Amino acid sequence: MKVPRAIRPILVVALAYAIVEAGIPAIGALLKPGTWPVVPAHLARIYLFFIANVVLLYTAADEVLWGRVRGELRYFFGADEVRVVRTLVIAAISLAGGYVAYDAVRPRLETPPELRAIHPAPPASFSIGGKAYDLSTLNNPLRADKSKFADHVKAGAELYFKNCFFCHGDKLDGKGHYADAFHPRPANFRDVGTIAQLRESYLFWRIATGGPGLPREGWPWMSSMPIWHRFLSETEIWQVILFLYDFTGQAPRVRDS
Amino acid sequence: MTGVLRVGGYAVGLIGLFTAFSYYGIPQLVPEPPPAEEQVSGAMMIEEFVAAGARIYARACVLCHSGLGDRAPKLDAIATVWRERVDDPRYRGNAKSLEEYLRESMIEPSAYVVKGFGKPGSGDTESPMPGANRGALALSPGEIDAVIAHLQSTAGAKVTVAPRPVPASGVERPAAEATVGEKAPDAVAALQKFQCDMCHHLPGLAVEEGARLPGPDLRKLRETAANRVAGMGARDFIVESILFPARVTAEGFEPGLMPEDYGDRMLAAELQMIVDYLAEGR
Amino acid sequence: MKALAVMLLLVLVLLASGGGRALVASPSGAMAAETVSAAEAAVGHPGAPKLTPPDYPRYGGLNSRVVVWVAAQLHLFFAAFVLGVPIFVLAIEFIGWRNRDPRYDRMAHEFIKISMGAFSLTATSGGILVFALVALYPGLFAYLTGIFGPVMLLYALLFLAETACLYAYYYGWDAMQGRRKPGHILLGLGLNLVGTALMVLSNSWATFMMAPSGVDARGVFAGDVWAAVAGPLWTPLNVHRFLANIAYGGAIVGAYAAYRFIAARTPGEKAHYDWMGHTANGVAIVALLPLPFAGYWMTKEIYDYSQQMGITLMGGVFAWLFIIQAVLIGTIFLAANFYLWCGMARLDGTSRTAYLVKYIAGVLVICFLVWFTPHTLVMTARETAALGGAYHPVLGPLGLMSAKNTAVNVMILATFLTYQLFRRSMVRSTQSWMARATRLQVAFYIAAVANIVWLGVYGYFVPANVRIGLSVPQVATTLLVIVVCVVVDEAIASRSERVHMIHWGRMPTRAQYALFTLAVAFTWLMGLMGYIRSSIRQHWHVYTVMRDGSADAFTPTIGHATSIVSASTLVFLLLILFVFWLSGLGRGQAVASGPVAAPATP
Repeated sequence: MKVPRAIRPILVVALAYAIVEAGIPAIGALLKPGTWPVVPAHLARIYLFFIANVVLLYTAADEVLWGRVRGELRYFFGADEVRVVRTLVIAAISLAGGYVAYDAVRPRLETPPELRAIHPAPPASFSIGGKAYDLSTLNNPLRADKSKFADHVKAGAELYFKNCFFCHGDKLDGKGHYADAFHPRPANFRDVGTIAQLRESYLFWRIATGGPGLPREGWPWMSSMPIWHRFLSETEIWQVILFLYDFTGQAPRVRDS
Repeated sequence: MTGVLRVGGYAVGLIGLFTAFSYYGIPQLVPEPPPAEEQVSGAMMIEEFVAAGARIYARACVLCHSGLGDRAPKLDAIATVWRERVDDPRYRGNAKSLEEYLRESMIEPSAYVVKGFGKPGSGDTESPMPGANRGALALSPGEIDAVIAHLQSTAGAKVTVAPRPVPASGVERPAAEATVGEKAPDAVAALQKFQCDMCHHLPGLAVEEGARLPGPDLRKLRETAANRVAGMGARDFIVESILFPARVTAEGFEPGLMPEDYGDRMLAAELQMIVDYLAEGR
Repeated sequence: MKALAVMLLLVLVLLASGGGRALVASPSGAMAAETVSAAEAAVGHPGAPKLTPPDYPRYGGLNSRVVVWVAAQLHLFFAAFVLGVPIFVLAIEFIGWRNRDPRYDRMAHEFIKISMGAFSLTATSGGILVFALVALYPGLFAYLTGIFGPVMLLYALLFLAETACLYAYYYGWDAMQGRRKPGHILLGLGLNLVGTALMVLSNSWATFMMAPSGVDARGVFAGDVWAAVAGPLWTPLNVHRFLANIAYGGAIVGAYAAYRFIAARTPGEKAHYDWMGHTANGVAIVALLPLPFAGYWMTKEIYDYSQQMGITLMGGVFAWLFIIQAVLIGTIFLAANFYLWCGMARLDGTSRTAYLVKYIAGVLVICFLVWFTPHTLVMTARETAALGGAYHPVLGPLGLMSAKNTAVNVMILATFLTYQLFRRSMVRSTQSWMARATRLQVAFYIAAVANIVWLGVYGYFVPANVRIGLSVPQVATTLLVIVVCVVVDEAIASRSERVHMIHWGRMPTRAQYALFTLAVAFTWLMGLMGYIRSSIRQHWHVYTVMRDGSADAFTPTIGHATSIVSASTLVFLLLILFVFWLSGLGRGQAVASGPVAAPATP
C-alpha cells in the first residue's frame, strides 16, 4: 500500500518526535550511563514546532506535491466512503487536543522550571570592608611576579583543599562530597564553559562575595557559595584563582586591547 | 485595496506570533531595578530625606559633633536652645527660625559661638568649625537641607525642610568616594583632607599661635618622634600613632579622642606622604 | 515640492535643536556657576549633569521613554531602508549598464522610487525624534549637543547634500541615459558616500552613549570631537549597520515586489515583479550572510570595553532575548529558503537536482536546532533528576559558541547551495571539463563542511580566547566556497547551452508571503536587537558617565520591551504599505512588456 502524500509529513514529524523524546535520551544514556537525559520539555516543544514548520514548508514548496496533498485532504474531508475513518480521526484529534489542555492545567506536584543564568552579570564595582574594587580594571596582582608563581599556586592548592574541595571536588569537576546535596550543582571548573569563559576579576567577585553577593536579577539564585572574603584574605583568593586555572589548564579570558 | 488588507493582516498575525512567543515562550523575568544612588532629590520621601541627612551627618559632622559635647557643642537640645542663643547679645546673625539658625550655623559658624567652644584666644567670638558649604566638607545646598532635616528630626522638632530639586552638581557623593576618594596630591593636602589640622598644630599649616587644640602639637614631631617609644623609630611611631592612636597617648591629652579609622580611609600613598612629611619634613 | 517640504522640515529640526539647547542651557548654566571645578574651568565644558526626576518634563500621561523609543525606532527603520536601498540600486544599475540590459536599469529605477517615497518619512520621523528628545530629555540632549555640536552641524549639512543627491539621482534617471550614464552612476556613488557618512556620524552618538570616549569619568569633555566620535564601538557598529541596512533594504523592496506581484493582473507584470522579488531576496540573503560575524565582532568589542556590559548582554535577562533572536533568524532563513524552493517551479519540468531540497531542508533543521539550543537549559526538577545534574550530555556541548558557529556556517552553505542549484538547473554540461568542475565543486562542499565541523569540534579542546579565534577560519571557509562556486558556475554558464527557460511569474502566491515574512521578521529583529544594544546601558544615558535620573531608568520586562518593538514594527509596516500603495497609483501599464522568459539573474 502506498502511503498517501498527506500522511508523510505527519510521519516525519512523528519520527522527529521519537528522536527528540527517545533518541537523544538514549544517546545520552550511552554517554552517561545510569541516567536518562531527556530533552527538557521547554526546548522539545520549540524543536518540534520548528521541525513541523520545515516539513510543512517543504511540502508546500513543490507545486505538484502540494497539489496532491491538497487533493488528498479534500478527498479525506469530503468523500463519503471514508466517513467512518474521518470521524475517528477528527475525534482522535479533538481528544488529543483536550488531553493536551488538561495536561497543561492539571495540578501537579512539581517545582516550576528553574531559570538560572550560569554567569550572572557582575556589578561594575564592589567593595569589601571599605575597599572598592573596580571590576573593569581589576587584575590578578599575583600574575605580575613570575618567580613566585609556583609558590602562589601551591598556596592556592592548599587553600582549595582546605576550603573549596568539599563541594567543587578534588578534581575541580564539581563533584565534591557535598555536591549531590546542591541544586544547582557546584560549578565544574574543568568544563570549558565555566572559568575559561571568564576574567579573573569575575572569579574574584564571585568568590569574595559568594551567593549573597549575586545580583537580585533573576533571583533566587540558590547559590550555596559562602562569602569567602570573611574567611580568606584578598591575596588568598587570588592564589586560589591561580590554582583553579593552573590545575585545570584553562586560561582566563583576557582583556585584549 | 484588498491586497493591502490581506498583507497587513498577515503582518499583524506574524508580529502577534513573535510577541506571543516573547510573552509566553520565554520566562518574564523582572530585571533588577537600577541601584539606588545616595542622592538628595525632589522625589524623596521625607523619611528618606532625613535618612540621607543622617548619612551625610555621619560622614561630615560626627567627628566633632559626636554627641559627647567634648569637641563641639551637643545638638540634641537644639530645638529649644536655639531661641536663647539668638536672643544672646553675642549673636551676630539674623536667623528667625530653627531651620534658619541651623543653616546659618553651618555656613557661618562664627555667627554664634557656644561658650567654651570658640577658637582658643578668640574669647569665643570665632568658631573653629569650617563652613559646611566649602572647603573639605563642601556640602551642597541640598545636602545641607538634608542635614537640617536630620538635626530637626533628632532634636524632636518639626522637620520644616523638604527635599528640593537639587542642581546638577549638587548631589552627594557616594560614601566610599568621600572616605577614600581621590588621592591627595601632597602631604599638606592629605593632612587637610583628613582634617588633621582641626586637632593638631602641624608644620606648614597655619593655625593661630597659642590656640589650644584637642591634639598634641606636631610641629616638632620631627625631632621628638624617634624618642617617644623605646625601640621604635620615628617613622614607625608616626605610622602607629595614625593607624592605632589608642596605643600611645601624649601626656596631658585625653585618650580616645583621635578617630581609629584612618587605616580604612587613608590611601597607603597618603599615609606614606604624611609620614615622610612629619618625620623628615619633605 | 517634496524636496521643499523636506528642507523646511530640516530647518525646523535645526531650530528645534538649537532652541532646545538654549532652553536647557540656562538652568544648568546658573547652577554651574556655584561650583565650578578646576577641570571644568580649564576646558570650559561642564561635566555630565546629574539629573533627577524633575529634570524630565512630563506631558500628561505620556510615557517619555516609550515616545522617544518608538520615534527613534521608526526613524531607524526608515533611515536604514533609505540608506540601504541606494547601495544595491547602484550595483544593479551598474550591472545593467555594463551588460547593456535595460531591464536591470528599470528595476533599479523602481527600487529607488520606493525609497524616495520613504525618504520624506525618514526626515519626518527624524524631526519627531529630535522634538521628542528636546521636549522629554532636555538634559541628555543638551549634554550630547555640548559635545557633538559640530558633528550635528555637519550632519545637517550632509543631510542637505543627501537630499540634493537623492533627488538629482532619482529625477535625473531618465535624462541621464546613454552617454550620460557614467555621470549618473557617479551621482549614485556620491549619494551612497553621503548616505554612509550620515549613518556613520549618527552612529557616533549611539556608540558614545554606550561606550563614552573623549570625556573623563565625570563626563567633562576634553574638547576633542574626534575622540568622542571614534569610540571603541564605533567601527563595529558602522560595519554592522552598513551590512544590515543593505539586507534590510533588500527585504523591504522584496516585500514591495511581493505586494505588486499579488496585485498584478497581467503575466508581464507578474513576471517583472517575480524577477524583482527574486533579486531582492538574493540581496537580502547575501547581505545577511556576513551579519552574524559582524555581530560577533561587535559583541567582542562590547565585552572588551566593559566586562559588566558584556555579561549583562549575554548572561542576565538579556540572554533570553537572544532566544527570541534565534527564533527570528530561524524564521528569516526558513522564509528565504522556502522562497528559493518555490522558485524551482519557474523551471521547465523537474529539476535534476530538486531531490536534494529535502536533504538541504534536513541540514537546515539540524543546524537550526543546534543553533537554538541554549547554553543553560530550562529544566524542571524532575528533568534535572533524570539528567543526573544540570549538564546534558548531548545538548550541553551544543550550547557552546563552537557548535553555534559551526551550525551558522553550515546553514549559510546550505542556503547558498539551494540558490546555486536553482542557477545550475538552467544549464546542461556540454563538455567533459564541466562535469569534472561540478565534481570538484561537490568535493569542495564536502571538504568545507568537514573543515567547519572539525574546527567546531576542535574548539572544545582549546581555551576560550583561541576558540573565539577559530570562527575566523570557519567564516573564511564558507566565503571561499561561495566565491569558488560562483566563479565556476559563471564559467560553466557562459560556455554551455541552456536547457531550461526560466518562467518568471510562475510562482505561487504563498511564496510571496515568504517575502513578506522576510520583511516583517527583519523589521522586528532590527527593533529587538536595537533595543538590546541600547538597553545594555541599563540605567545610564551615557554609560558610567551620565545616569538616567528619570522614573523610567529601569529595564523593562521582556514582554513589555517586545510589545513596544511590535508596535513600532506595526506602525512602520503600515506606513510602508501606504508608501507601496502610493507608488502603485498611476502606474499600471508601464511594465506590460516585462521579461516573461529570461536568463538567470546575477
